[in-house]
Amino acid sequence: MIDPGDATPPPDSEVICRDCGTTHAASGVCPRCALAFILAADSAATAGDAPRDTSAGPPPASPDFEHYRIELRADGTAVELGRGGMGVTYLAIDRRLRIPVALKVISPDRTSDPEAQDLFLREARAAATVRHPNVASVLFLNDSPTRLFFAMEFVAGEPLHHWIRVHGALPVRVALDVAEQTARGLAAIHAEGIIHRDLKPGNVMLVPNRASGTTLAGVIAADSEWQVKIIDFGLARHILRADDLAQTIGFRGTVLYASPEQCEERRDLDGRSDLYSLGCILWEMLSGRPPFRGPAKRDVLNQHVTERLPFAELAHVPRAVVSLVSRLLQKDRQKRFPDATALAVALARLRTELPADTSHWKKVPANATPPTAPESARLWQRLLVVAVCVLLLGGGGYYLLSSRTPGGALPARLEPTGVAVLPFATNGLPPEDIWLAQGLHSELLDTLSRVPNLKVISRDSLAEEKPGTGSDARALAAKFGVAKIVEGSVRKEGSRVLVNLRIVSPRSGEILAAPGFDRAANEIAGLPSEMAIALADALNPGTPRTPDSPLTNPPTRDAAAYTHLLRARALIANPVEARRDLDEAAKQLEQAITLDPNYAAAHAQLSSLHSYFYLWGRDRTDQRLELALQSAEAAGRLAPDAPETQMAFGHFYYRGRRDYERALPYYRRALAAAPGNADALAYIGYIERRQGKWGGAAEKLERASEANPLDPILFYNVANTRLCMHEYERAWQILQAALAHHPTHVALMKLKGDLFLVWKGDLSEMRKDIETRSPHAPYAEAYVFDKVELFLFERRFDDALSVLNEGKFGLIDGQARYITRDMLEAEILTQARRAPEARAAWARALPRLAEAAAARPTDPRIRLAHALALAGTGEAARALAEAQAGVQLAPPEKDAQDAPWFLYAQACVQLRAGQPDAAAQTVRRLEEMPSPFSAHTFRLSPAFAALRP
Amino acid sequence: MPDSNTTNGHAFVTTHWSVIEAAADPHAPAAQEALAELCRVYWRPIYAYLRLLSRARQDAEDITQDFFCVLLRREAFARVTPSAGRFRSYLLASLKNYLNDHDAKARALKRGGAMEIIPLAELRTEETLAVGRRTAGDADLQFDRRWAELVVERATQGLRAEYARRGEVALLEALLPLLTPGGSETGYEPLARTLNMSAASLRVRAFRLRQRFRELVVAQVRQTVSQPADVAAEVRHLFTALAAA
Repeated sequence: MIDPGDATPPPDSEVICRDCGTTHAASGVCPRCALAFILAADSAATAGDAPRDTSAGPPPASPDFEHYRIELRADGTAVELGRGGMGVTYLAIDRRLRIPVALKVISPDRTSDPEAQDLFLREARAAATVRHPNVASVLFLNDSPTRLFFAMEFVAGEPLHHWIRVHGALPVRVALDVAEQTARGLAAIHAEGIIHRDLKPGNVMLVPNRASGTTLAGVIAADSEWQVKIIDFGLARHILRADDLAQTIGFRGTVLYASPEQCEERRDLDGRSDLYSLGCILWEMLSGRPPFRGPAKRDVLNQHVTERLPFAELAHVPRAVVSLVSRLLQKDRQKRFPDATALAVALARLRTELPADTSHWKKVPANATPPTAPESARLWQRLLVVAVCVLLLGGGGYYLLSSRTPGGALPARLEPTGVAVLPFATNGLPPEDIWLAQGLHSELLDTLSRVPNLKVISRDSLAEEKPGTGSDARALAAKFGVAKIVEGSVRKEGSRVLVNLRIVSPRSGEILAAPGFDRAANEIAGLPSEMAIALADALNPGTPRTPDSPLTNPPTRDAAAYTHLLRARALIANPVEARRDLDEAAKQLEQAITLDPNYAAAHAQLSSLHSYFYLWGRDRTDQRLELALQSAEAAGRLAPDAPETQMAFGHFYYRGRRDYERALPYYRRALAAAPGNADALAYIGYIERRQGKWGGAAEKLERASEANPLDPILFYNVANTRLCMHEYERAWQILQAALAHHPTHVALMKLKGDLFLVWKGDLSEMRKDIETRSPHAPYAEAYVFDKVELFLFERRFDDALSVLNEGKFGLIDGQARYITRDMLEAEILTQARRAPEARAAWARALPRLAEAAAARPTDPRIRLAHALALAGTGEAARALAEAQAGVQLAPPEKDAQDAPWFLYAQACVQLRAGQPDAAAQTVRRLEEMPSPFSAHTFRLSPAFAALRP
Repeated sequence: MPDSNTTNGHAFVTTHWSVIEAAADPHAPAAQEALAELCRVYWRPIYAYLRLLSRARQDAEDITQDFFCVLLRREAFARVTPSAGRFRSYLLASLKNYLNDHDAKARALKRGGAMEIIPLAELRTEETLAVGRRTAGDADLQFDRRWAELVVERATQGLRAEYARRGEVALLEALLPLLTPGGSETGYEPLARTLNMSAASLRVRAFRLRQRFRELVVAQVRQTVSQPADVAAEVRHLFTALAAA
């Protein structure tokens, strides 16, 4: 009945359209261009029959437009500032006033199109009605139909999108400033009854604020470092002109910043649509990326209309700011700010409520030098140079800046066996089924890690990638250093689960293979293995694969059990900061085991989770450890050789028993079974570090970071290892790379402060960290502790006490330190030399610590805490003995990583128990061994003031 | 632009909708034939969709055949609510409906396991027909792209037929590039000289060609939407699908 050759014969050959790059049949016209033409001509359907020339013409024959002259390069080509649907913008010189201008000339192919002329004139007139410092002014319009052009104020700055692309997110305060100025500009535009409709970072220019003068002090003192200018009114229209031609052409504007009502092509747009766009811009300024992204325009349109905002991306942003952004991005415009003025006022108020110092450009690009001068000053100087160049040389400067954009550049060498499997798109799944995509993704990564000769970017480095992104394979490849990108999507259709994968070559953008999978929902257990095999074959076609390859062990025969495992994996896959549902993950795993008691992978996962709970103080009880052991043993009985089982045992001994010797062979076996398991390699590194093999540890951690290049925790450990080895330059290099990816990560910022202290005795980075850090959960206690620590170094003892009294602090139950609130208060008073109060505070702290030490005599952290309290209450002999006992439990030979902390505490005890010589000896020992301390630490800390001459 | 805005209560008075409605009447063999004709026109997006779901080529062809069989027996249309008044969405929804209801068939096609992966070589040759070269995006998007290509292709065929009747096939082939901006970037003069006509009359011919082409595309699309006012939105949708590469 259907003859494939019947109606439309298949195309014999294909060509790539020169205009848009679409591949189409050689015998026909490019469908995309043809439809674009239909759309463009749509509004002209009722126009007269006069032939119109829609072909593109040559560039301007003459550079002279009235008294403006377009700037030409040496080769005679014009200096273009921008190009849009209606016209081209050139850099030109006003020969009368002798100033540079931006000259927008209607496209040659539009000169005989009355509608285009109308739109062009409207843009110029709309822009000309607005006079505001934050809006680029129109200076002149020539409305002769044969030579339509207008001159605009030349904005010698940098477009916001360019700045974000090169430097990433802006500091909160600066972002608010830019948003506020943009809002003021919008208010002026709206006041003229005009809506912009195409507000995007590319249309927001940042101009260095000349009013602040040319000195460094002037820049820093100025209220705003930037002047914002809104440019490009190409889509602007009057709010009330319902017959407006510009709106009949359908969706316009930039989809990433389009309001839901624009996406729905509503005709009654008003200024609140621009406010939504500004919300998207603010989001991008804060996070480095717009809120909604996707491979296809349609995806993004849908997201604007229906999707929830990915607030996790703003986790580092103060809550009040997030709340404002969220109001701007309401789908229902009634719930947004009523107008741009109200928004500007709210932004201004919010900005004054933030700590004053957050205006510094503290983000460090990967190749930056140590922060000798504020970034803002350097940037400002750079922009000033650009502006001056443009003014003096009459052009080229702007483009010079733009063309240096590293945007699509790829490093010369990408790891040929490297592949980044992006989180799966979930557009095809209802919200309650998102776990399916996350769980399958996690399982796939684990399975792929077993493939030899494949470097798979591990999950922790993908945490920031939004599901379904992949439109910019080049950028991703450059970011991860891999030669292949895999995108995937999971959808559910009725009772079936459909997974589509695409292997993309970042160099050519070509889809190399697109395996797809279609399974009944109760038959997905083997899916990760099948996906892994398909990918492995496609990525590495030469690799022979036998049927009993280790990739293909079926996890469970019980479909429901597998569902529970996937749900748990989805919960565990969240980035560390977002792991709040681990209890739920444990429950899911327990349910999986109830359904299939022989489910080895579920036992292994559960065991690892139990030891995780134990290590991070969530439940540091023997019962928890026992659960971890039982689960690991169950996995061991069922699948003794599986890498998950080996990891479970490794974690039990490492996290739980602190028995590093016994943990090591398990991690080694896990790595042998899954050569791509970056976690196993990292843990081997951690163990070597504890064994005092610092060099080997550093090498392994750095190797692990090749497969896990963006994991902030791994970054932290790599850098901290070098810091402890007193290789400060190397540590700083690594830390800069880490901060370039995670500019506001709490642990990395803290490490930066620590590094500059031990390296240079410089407290300024520590200060900056504290001043810009959020005091809220989940790091509220660490915030109080770190702030107290800083104030102690600064000898601001009263301030330290206030912080402790005002902030939320109960207990630091860390790997190397156990500090109760009473202890911390007593320590401040001791260092402040307020002896009677200190003694009383230590006396308050003592009973609880004595009790803890009796209950857990093998815990060196608690024994040393107890020793400090004994010393503080004057029991010198007992204190010295207790400290010695604590250090003996974990001497440097046994735990090279934590031992320095115990020795540090012992030195304090020795000093306070009247043995300064012993203390001095301990301090010298600490200075000489790998440790997180240096001579600067002991010089600056009031605790050791007595040791100084 | 979700396609799920239901237009319940709308009378689908025209075009393919009337064919579908009439085909539901067992006593209207002519409508049955019209429906078969529709199937002959629109098999390729269906095939492309199935092909991207990793059915092997033969399977995709089999399922395409079987789907239209079922369609003609009016088994698949019956339970689909016409959505957004677009034949395109309706046909895809019917296909999905069919796939859901035919697990047995789908399972039969699933045999072959790893064979479902589209081999690279096959992608490069056959998918130019079925899937299109730039295959970013999901199967739904492929379906829409293929649909868009089909609309343009059929409009172009219409032009060819008309020009052939006037004995101007060669002229049409010379003018076709002028339908897109890139084709005319060299300007009219060189082409006019080649065609041995004045630039002014070439402009007029080009203008008429574009007008006619537009009419043919609009007529194509008009056949697939329930309301004339939806034509522009459908064209935009098709353009978006192509532009989403």
